[in-house]
Amino acid sequence: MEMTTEKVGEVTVVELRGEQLDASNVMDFKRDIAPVLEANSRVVFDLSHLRFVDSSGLGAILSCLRRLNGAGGELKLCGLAKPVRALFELVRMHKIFDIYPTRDEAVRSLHA
Amino acid sequence: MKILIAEDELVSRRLLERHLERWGHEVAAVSNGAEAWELYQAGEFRIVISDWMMPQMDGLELIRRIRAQHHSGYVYAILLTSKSQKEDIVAGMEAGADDFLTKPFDRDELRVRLRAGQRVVELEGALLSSLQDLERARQREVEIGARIQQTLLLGHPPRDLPGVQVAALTVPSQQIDGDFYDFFVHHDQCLDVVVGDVMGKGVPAALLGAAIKSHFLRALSQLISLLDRGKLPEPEELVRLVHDDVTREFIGLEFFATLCYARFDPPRGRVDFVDCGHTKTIHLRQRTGEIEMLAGENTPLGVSEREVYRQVSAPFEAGDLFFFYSDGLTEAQNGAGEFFGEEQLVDFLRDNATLEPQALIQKVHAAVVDFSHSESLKDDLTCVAVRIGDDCGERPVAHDEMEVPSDLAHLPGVRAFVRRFCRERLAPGLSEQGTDQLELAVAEATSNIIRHAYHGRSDRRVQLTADAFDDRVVIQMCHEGEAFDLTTVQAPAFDGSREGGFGVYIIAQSVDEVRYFRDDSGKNCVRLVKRRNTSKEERQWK
Repeated sequence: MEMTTEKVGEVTVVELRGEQLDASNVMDFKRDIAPVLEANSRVVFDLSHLRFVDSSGLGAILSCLRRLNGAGGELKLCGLAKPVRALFELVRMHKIFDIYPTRDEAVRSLHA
Repeated sequence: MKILIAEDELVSRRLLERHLERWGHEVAAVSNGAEAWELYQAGEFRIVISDWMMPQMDGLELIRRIRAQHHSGYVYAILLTSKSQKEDIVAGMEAGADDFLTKPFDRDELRVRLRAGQRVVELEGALLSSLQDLERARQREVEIGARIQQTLLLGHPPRDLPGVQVAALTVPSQQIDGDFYDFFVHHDQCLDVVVGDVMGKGVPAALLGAAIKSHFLRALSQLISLLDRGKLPEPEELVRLVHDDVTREFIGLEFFATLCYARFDPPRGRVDFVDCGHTKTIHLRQRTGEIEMLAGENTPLGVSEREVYRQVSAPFEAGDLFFFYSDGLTEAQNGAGEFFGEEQLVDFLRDNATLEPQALIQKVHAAVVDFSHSESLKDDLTCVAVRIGDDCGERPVAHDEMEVPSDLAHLPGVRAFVRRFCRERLAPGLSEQGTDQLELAVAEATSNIIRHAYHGRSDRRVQLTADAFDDRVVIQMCHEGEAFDLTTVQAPAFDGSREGGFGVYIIAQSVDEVRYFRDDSGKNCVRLVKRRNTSKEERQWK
């Protein structure tokens, strides 16, 4: 899955470039994100390009959170489009994740 | 008559042989019991005359062996003896001898004793042959009854009706019952179902069942021609007319019939029925899972000329199931003499509510066979299942369909299909939020089909149909993979402790109705209904 990573100070921002994160591409995402999580502990996922996430996409993001938390790292999310935000709320994951409207706010939260 | 003689004394044997042959019998004579036994087994002898004392095998043993064997007819055994003590006679009779002849025998005595034996054998033969005649006649009656049943008693369930699906089943028993059913399809989507049972058995019951069935057809055409064009006679009018026609004759013949005449009107969402003392029809509400028993208060046909038949109405909704059955079903017995029973039937229907009518009645039959441990039932088993169509026969304002390979790579295409249908094909379109939710539910359901029903195989197909009505959009996905088993689904973990298990929850939360079922062609289906402008759609997620 296409993604770009950018270092902002101590924080690694991963921008997912695809329109969807669902059962059709979740395996690619898991494979591609693994080395990023390996090398970094403060991570922001910028999801602003995503128009659609399903339960498997959500599960994959959740697995990233648990992995980072398990290694003492942190994961913040930002840029959730309305339907994506709606899904997070439907399964109450907005209470599990720290979600910020913008990338800057997410990065700032990790520098604080 | 074929007679076997076993006698070791030459003179006595020759004498017997000569007398019997002279009297016209077919005789075989041997000089010991062992030979006699061998010969007896090879030929069909009706009378055996045997000496008591013989080398190798004596007369008692010979007769004992003859009695121990199973025959098609009776064999008359006479024991020749020089003894005449009482205890000898007892021993001989216990071995199975019918009569005794003391040696040296008198010719006339031989003749009369033989004639007595002949009479017994002939009488027994005549009895056997009339029993066989009776059995043949009974078998023929069963065949006639079965033919009456197939040709005259049972109508054909209509197929391809827009508003209802119907299936019927009859399992004939060893005797003939008067179970009957018929279906009348009307032009305005109404369907009449009549199911009945003539009390009593045999050809008369079958003929009366056929008579009632044809009376209904006649009553229907008579009343339709009397009424204004296009108006249907009410079920109670039909039953009253048939009652007028047959009840007097039924009372005279001392027969009566229970029946239920029901009219399903899907566009108006109601069933009108007249219950003439029949088993209670089971109404299973799909939406709530509730069970109702439909019963009226009328007596069976043929009980009272003064009975006034009245119809009762009950409302129904899309997806509801109605189950008619004869008491042969509920009164099927197991080895312990227990009945299958109404309660078990209701539970069974509740557990199998997702099956389509044809599959359902087959499963009911299997359950009854399983319960009674027998394929052959005491009474006919008849049942009719009527499922109200998902859209009550309503025509969609828009329809579309697509088929995709069972490959997760096609999920974006499936979502695009849903969006296009909801936003472009409909005017006004489904709301943005409603479309998002339906799209999500369809994507989840399709992905479940591919991953679980097809176990990830990508060379199968998934069919999607989309139908829009004034107040709802319906998306249905059908596949040939395994049926979905809701009981294996784990509840989602909202604390983030588990990554899977959200799919089914998401589907249920995103649409107004979810139904998993097997269609009539055997495909497993998921049906999602999204209502327009409902509280669920309007609801703001917090």
